[in-house]
Amino acid sequence: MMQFQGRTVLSGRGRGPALFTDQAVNFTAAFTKAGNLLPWKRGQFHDRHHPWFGEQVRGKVLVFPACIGSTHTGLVILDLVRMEEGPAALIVDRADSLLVSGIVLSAVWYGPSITVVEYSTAELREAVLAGQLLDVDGDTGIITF
Amino acid sequence: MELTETQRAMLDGAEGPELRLALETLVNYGKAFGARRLVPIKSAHFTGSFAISVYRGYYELLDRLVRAGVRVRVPTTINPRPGRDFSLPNRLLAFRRQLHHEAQLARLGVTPNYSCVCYMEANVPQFGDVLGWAESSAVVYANSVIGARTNRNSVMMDVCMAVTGLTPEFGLLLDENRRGGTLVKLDIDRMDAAALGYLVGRRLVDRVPVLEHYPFNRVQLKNMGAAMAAAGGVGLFHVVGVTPEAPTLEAVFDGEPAETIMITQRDLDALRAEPPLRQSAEMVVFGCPQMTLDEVHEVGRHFVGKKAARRVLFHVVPADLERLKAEPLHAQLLDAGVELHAHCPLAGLSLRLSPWKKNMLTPSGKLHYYLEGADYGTLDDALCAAGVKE
Repeated sequence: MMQFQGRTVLSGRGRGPALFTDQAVNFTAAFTKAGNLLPWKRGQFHDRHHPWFGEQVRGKVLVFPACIGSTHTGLVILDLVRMEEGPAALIVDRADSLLVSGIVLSAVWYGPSITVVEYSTAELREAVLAGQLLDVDGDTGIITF
Repeated sequence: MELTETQRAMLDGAEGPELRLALETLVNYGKAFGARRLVPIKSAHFTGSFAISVYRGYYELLDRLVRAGVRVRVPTTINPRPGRDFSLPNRLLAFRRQLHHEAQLARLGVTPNYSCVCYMEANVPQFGDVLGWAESSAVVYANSVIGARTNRNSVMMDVCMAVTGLTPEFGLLLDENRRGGTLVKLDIDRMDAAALGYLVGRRLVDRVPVLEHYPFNRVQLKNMGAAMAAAGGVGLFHVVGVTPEAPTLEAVFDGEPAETIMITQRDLDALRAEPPLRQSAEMVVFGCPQMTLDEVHEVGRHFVGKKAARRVLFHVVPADLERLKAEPLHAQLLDAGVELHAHCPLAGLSLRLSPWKKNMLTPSGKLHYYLEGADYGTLDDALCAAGVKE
């Protein structure tokens, strides 16, 4: 077991297999394609510019450097989180306003939330293998695998 | 967070449960970034103009606000329509709730400008104004070119700001986060602002780029910023001697830049689709962000007296399209086969629901990023593919 002390952005707790990338994520480009119209593909990543193309994010701990792109990001994340069809937790180098928005909107207006913790994603990629189970405690900021 | 008495009362439900939740949203949003107070905004701009039928949460919340009789407290504009007239499948499936959505926006008190280029006419901020804006291309223009202050706010967060008239103070609202991050040196013979924006966004992600002096016009600044905010998360850039917060290099960096990158002509050229691909495009698409009247004049003059070799689509700010109708150029463009639209190209084209992929060519860095099958070409490449330039 190994632990890393991150910085809490949004509290909560999440556990799931890790999905890593060194590329910033554009949630709007990833989840608003024609393919996402099918309910069972809602959580499938459809951005061809990104190495996660084709990945299912549901229940996973997403580890990526930053969030980029459109302000529709909150529309996408709000639904993924409130319907509990999205990731289990998020670990980023730097949390940005769009990433946090969708989760806060779900938490305040609907209830369901997920945790966001800041930690060096490059360092985590070195230490953890893709698919390994990560436990993210957003109350303490501790990431365990 | 320190709240004023009025804000505290709103958070306690004095103005109803909907405003209580809207304010709680802003407080929690701000707390995540260490904001210490909520500050008043001069205006809002909403990004969520499409009723995208796979998504529900945002629309349910708007319905709830409207039922409670909530209205915006500051002048508020809205992004383009999705082009629901574009195809029957779109009308029946993807955007079938569009009319209801537009009626709800009207009930909230939103100005029906239906353009992402709100900052040129419908909603023009002043230097230093604090805004509650969404739409990444509008946010980056307001911050960079006008010197107003807004974070990159999301769908629905923009609504919470408009109905309360407040925004949490953090990020790009604070002086220390508006300083230069990275100096971008240019070694370019043929400027292509959209391609440059795309590359800067891709390389710098969310740092604050400071471009060496180049006399960009406002159309170039619009298209460059939009690409930075699509391929990256840029909410503010500076151009030395052009944008208001960067009179000199020293002023914007407080001394020496910590980091410098170089973008060359070769980098710009590498973004262009190969010539065979450019010539196989079925459509040539202009206007993301929507074209202003200046831009229609600049691009449109090449089509006068000619016939487009393939489908050519112009997406124009609605108010500017109305003005264009009074000019001879309007008929000349239609004669040349140019299709003139006032909706969003991304929404209009992305849900075509066709089983085969169509190739498109576009000189928009933003559209190239978002739209599957949209290859990038310079303005000249696009005009050549359209068959109106050698």
